[in-house]
Amino acid sequence: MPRLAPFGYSRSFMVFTIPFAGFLNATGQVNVCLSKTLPYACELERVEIVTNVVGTGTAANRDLNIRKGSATGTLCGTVAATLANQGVLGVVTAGTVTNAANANKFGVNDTLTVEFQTASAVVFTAGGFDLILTFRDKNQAAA
Amino acid sequence: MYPGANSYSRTVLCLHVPSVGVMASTNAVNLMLSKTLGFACELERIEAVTRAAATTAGSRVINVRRGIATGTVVGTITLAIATQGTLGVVNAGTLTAGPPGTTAFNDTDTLTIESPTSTAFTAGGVDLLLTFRDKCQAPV
Repeated sequence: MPRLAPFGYSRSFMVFTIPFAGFLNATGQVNVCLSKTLPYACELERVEIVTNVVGTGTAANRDLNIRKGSATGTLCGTVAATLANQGVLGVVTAGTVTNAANANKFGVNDTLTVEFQTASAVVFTAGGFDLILTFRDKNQAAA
Repeated sequence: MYPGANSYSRTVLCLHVPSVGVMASTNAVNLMLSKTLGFACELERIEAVTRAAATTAGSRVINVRRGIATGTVVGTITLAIATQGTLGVVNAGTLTAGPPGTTAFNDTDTLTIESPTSTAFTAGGVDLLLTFRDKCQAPV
């Protein structure tokens, strides 16, 4: 059990439903969320995808990047949707959060971008998932 | 209502439940299997919002569990044609009754959402909204 702390963190979820069309059936760079203003200080704590439509497609792969800033901003998290982890409904695939050099910390003026990269992309022929981002933030004044 | 050091923050976990493979299927399915939360919280509310209208009378029960697919049920919601036939309708589920802590998760608990064998809808889709409350706490 974590230590309850008046000046500790609260958590919040941000979920993006990723459909097949335009995202998983493509190999190009595509933005899921481009430069969203948050606008409060927080830290990315966890990145996960949950399969909600069974994925198919030989060697299918799409890499998702979570960035601070624009589509070329600092990489703070990644997760890969692959044929192996998209083949069964409900499977939770954990990604990686980068906390080196405070990459996962967002200031009040930072924006959030979620994008699929071109590199390593191999199309799915079906599929879909929810991307779940877990953030933690401390009590703070309104922007 | 006043905030306080021992008060709660809320967050909503939204999962899309599609027609293909779930609403239009009779199969038992996992919608989310053993997700690590990583923080202590309590399930406070379960709701389903119709995103795609169902066209024939089906029924699907969705269970929210602490742990794996056979873990303790902490909440349930039933999707029926009465609530799934019209876009935007908010259907509220029920939390498992019990003493304080019945719907609580600690930071090592996992969250599973599963649905047993059902009667298929012809179409339909919902967003499942789970509202959690948590107190300020140190990172794990």
